[in-house]
Amino acid sequence: MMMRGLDPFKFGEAVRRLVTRDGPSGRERLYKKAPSNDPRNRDRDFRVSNYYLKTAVADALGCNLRCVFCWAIDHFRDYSNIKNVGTFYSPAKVANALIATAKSLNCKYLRMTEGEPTLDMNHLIVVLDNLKKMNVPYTFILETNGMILGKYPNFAKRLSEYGINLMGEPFAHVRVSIKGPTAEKFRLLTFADVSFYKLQFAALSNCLDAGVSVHPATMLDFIESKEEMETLRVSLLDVDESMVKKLEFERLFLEDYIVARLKNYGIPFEKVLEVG
Amino acid sequence: MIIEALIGGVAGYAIGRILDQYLSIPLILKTRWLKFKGKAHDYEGPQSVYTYWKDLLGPKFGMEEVDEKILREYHLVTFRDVIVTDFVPRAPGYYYSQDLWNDPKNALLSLGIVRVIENENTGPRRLLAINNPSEFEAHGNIEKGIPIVVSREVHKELSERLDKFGSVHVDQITATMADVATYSKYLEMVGIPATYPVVESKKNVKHVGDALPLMGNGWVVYRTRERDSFLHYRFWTGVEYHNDSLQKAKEKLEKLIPEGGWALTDFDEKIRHFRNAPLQLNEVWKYFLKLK
Repeated sequence: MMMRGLDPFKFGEAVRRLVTRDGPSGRERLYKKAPSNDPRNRDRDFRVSNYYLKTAVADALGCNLRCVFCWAIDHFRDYSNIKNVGTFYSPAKVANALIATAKSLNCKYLRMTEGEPTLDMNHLIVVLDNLKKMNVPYTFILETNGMILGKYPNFAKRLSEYGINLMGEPFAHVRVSIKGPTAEKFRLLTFADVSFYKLQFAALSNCLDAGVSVHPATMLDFIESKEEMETLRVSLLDVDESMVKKLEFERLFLEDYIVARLKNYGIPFEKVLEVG
Repeated sequence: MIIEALIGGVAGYAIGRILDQYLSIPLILKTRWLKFKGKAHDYEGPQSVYTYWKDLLGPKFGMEEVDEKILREYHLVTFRDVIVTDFVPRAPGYYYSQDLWNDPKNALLSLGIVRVIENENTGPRRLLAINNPSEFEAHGNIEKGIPIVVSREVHKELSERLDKFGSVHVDQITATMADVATYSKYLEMVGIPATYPVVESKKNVKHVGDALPLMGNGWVVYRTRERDSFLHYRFWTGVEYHNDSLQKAKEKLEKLIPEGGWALTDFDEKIRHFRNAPLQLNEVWKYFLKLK
């Protein structure tokens, strides 16, 4: 009998309590400071990243899944010690720090990553409200696992209210990271129960219904067969044909700690040539 | 010779399979996916060149409506706001093909990049790739780019920055659609379609600008006593630490090859990462030319 997997909402709520607190100017959340070994980050709270060509990135701590392949190092996934490795930021401070990095390094996009940005919606919405008030020329890319956005369609509607930015482009764009091509792979990769797999696709649907700019992404490395690929394609087709065309294939970074985790849990990541 | 010996050995069948994969891909311009006959695509027949470029260039390069005429030989195609690199996708177009959906294992084998230098097989033309990352995609990916053929003059114009950063941003590049098979023996190895953008003069390359991040995917086929397998590792171009990133990819690949295993292939002629690999790109070219 298959054991029931992790409930991202129960687990997420426990994590949320650890990584947030109520401050004088709203809900504060723990963030990781920009690494000082990159000269571009000197004197900055948040870092610049090469992803999406160049983005100002706020590394929020805490996630409602436990993905084996996550690039967040174990140090930042250890919730017993999380308050010692992160720093609490108010929504206004997050918005200001993102803009400071984006302006000085000529970024086009803003992004919140590392943990799950939607883990505390109160915090995230106020960050976005602050950015909107500043009338910035940037697009905020919301990278999410889709659990919360899939369960709460109103959140997608709220995102749609931000409209466009100063440059006439979407103020917010959602990128739903689909964890595995099938429900079973989703369970293996995230430890979550298979019943939550469909929420990723519901997140895409909710965004499309609300008129929010959205696209799916998935790790090509974990798709092992035609059948798995077809399952993913059909799931995306059920949402909308455009989602199949817009699917972004990501590739795994085989960092030592990720390889160790994958081996530990017996997740195949090398593609074996079928010879002989 | 090495390749023939490898094929002829006891492990002939297995290595033959690898070589088949290897050869069928680093023909660089030969795109296996073109053979696919699906519901939406039929790349064979007189329309193949048009269909190929329409799919590849279409919306991604700002051509919502691709005029069939401009994609025929001797017509000009202008690419704007693109990233140029000397790493070239092994199987250009794979990301847009049904093949990726039909068999992801094949897709993985076909992904990756190669970098070739000028030699007796290539003639005076060089092969580069251009890329224009789709909006909101996490990063530009060389594997999603398309190859272009450039003259020595054009390559020289770009080479300093390519050496340093691995890729460079260009405001505008104008190419002539031409039958590349007429240029050199090397390009004779081209599969269908034979018509590709060729840039002859540096005047056609405007405003070579800053480097912009673009991700490459180094790959290696390795052999152990038990099996043959395949690994890849990503690296950055268009960043100041490009060469370090490439070196790190090589080190990672070496480290990931299981103990007792050895690399069979290399992906780069400019910097040979796996000097002892028997299937160096140039050896493969020579072998294939001999077959031709």
